[in-house]
Amino acid sequence: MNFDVWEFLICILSGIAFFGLFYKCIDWFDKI
Amino acid sequence: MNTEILGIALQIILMVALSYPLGKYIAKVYKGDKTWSDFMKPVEKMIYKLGGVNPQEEMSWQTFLKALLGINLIWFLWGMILLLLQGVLPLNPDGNSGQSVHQAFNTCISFMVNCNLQHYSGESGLTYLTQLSVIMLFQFITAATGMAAMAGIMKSMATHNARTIGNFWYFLVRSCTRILLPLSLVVGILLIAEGVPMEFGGKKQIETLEGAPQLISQGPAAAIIPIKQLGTNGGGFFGANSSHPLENPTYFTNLVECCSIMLIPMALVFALGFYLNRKKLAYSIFGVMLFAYLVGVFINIKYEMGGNPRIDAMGILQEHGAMEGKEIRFGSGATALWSVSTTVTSNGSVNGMHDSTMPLSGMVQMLNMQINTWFGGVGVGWMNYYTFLIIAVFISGLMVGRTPEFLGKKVEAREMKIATLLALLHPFVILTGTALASYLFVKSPGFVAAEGGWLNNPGFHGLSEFLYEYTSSAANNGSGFEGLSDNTRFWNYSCGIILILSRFIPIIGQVAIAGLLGKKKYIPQGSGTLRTDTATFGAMTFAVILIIAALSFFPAHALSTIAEHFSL
Repeated sequence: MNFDVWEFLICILSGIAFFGLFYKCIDWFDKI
Repeated sequence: MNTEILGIALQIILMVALSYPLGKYIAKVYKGDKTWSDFMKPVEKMIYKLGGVNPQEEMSWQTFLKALLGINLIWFLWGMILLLLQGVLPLNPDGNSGQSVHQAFNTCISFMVNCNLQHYSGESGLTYLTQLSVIMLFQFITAATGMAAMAGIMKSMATHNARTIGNFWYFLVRSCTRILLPLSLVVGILLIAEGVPMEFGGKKQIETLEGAPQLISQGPAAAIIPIKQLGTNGGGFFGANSSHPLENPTYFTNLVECCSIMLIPMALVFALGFYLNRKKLAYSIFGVMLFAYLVGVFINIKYEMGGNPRIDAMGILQEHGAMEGKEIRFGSGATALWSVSTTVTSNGSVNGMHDSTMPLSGMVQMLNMQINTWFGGVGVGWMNYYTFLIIAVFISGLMVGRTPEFLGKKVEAREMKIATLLALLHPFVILTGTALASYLFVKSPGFVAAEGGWLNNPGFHGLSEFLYEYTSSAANNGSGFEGLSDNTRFWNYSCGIILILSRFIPIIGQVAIAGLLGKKKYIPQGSGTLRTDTATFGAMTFAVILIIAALSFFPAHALSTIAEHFSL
C-alpha cells in the first residue's frame, strides 16, 4: 500500500472543507 | 445494416414505452400513495429507526440540504478509509492492494457524486469488499440522493405558499427501496441468465484454445451492473466496462443495459407531470429532451456506421462501419446509440472506446455532457433543465412583456442570480481545467513527463482528451476518452475537485431556487400568464440551453473535435 500520512490528512481535511463550503453556500443562496 | 437500425429503433421505443408507466409509479411513490411496493414499509421503518430520523418531519429547503450534505460527508469518510485499507480487509481473494491516497480521493469523490470516473481498473484496483460496500453502496445512495433532491423540488412546485419541501430521508429511502432496488433485481436476474458472473471465488484459471493457461477475473458483477446502469452511475465492475464479455455478454444484455441507462431519467420527466398533475408540461419537456437525444443518435449513427474516410481511402471495405474500439457482437450502430445514451444521462458506462469514435461523434458525446440537461443523471438531469427553465421564463417574459412566472410563482432577481451562477459554473470549471492542463502540457514538459506524459495523441485529439476528461468530471458522467494517462496526482486531484464542486453547488442552487419560489405567494393563472407547457415555450427553452450551454464550448470544439474532423 502506497500510503502517505500527510497526503491522507490533507485529503480528508480538504474533503471536510469542501462540505463546509457547501454549508456556507446554503446561507449565501438564502441571502443572495 | 437494416437489422442494426431496427435494433436501435426497438431500443428507443422500449425506453419510451417503459418510462411512461414507471413515471406514473414514481410519482405515486413520492406522493406516498398506495402502491404494490408497500410491502417494503417494515424495511423502511427499520432504516428510519436505525438512522434515528422521523420521515414525517417536514423540512425547510435549508434543513433538507443540510441533511443531504451531512450524509454525503459521512460517505466520503467511509469510502476513503475502506479504499485505503482494502488490501488488509476481507473479501480479497485476488490479493489486491489498497489504493494510493490520491487515487482513493478521486475514486471516493467520483462515486460519492454519482460520476464513477475510474482512474483504476476494477480487476486490480478494488476488492470484492470495496466493490460492494463502497462502489455498489454509493451507486444506490448517490442515485437516490439526486432523486430525493428532485422529489423535494417537485413537492415545492406542487404546493402553494409552502415553507417546506418534504423530508430528505423519506425521499432517499423510498428511492432506494421502491425504485432502484426492485428494478435492479429484475435487471440482475436477466443478466445472470445471460451469463454475467455473480460469485466470490476470485480469479478462475482456464485453458485457452492454444492450450495456454489464463486467469480470468470475475466476482459479484451481476449485483453491481444493474444499479450501475439504472442509477446513471456508469462505473464498471471490470476495467473495460460494458465492452467486457462478462459485463455485457450478448446483444440482449446490451439492449437491457442500454435501456436501463435511459429508463429512470426518462421516467422522472413523466413523474413530474403526474406529481404536479401537469402532464402537458411534462410532455413539452420530454419532447425537447427526446428531440435533442434523437439528433445526437442520428449524428453518431451516421458517422459510426459510415466508417472512417482514411480507411476508405486505403481501399479497405468497412461494411460494418468504423469498427475500431467496438465489439463485433454489438456492431457500430448499437455502440453509437449507447455512446449518446450514456452521455445524455451522465451515466458514463461504455460498450466501446469513445476515444476511437469519429471526431464529430466525440463532439456529440461531449456536447451532451456540456449541456447536461437532456434527461441527465437521475434527478439531477431534470434539475439542470429546471435551471434553464427559470432562465427561459425570465428571458421570454421580458421579451413578450409579461411577468416572468413559473407555475404561479414570480421569478425575480434572487432566483435569476442563482440560476445564472449555476449555468455559468459548468462551462467555467470545464474550460478552466482544460486550459490549465493545456498550459502545463506546453509550458511545463518536465512536470508532465514526471507524471508519465499524459498524452499518446498530442494535437487536436490530445486537446479533445483533456476537454473530455474535465467535461466528464463536471457533468458527473464518468466516461473517458481513455487515451489519456489519468491515474496521476494532477488528474486525480484536479478532476476530484471539479467533481465535488459540480455535484453539490448545482444541487444546492436548484433546491434553493425551489425553496425560494415555494415561499412566494401563489398567483393564479390569468390572461397575462406566460404559458410554460406549450411547444413554443419548449422551443424557447431549447434555444436558451443551446445558446448558453452549447455555444460556450464552441471555441474549444473548433480547436479539437471539429479541427480533427476536417483533418481526416
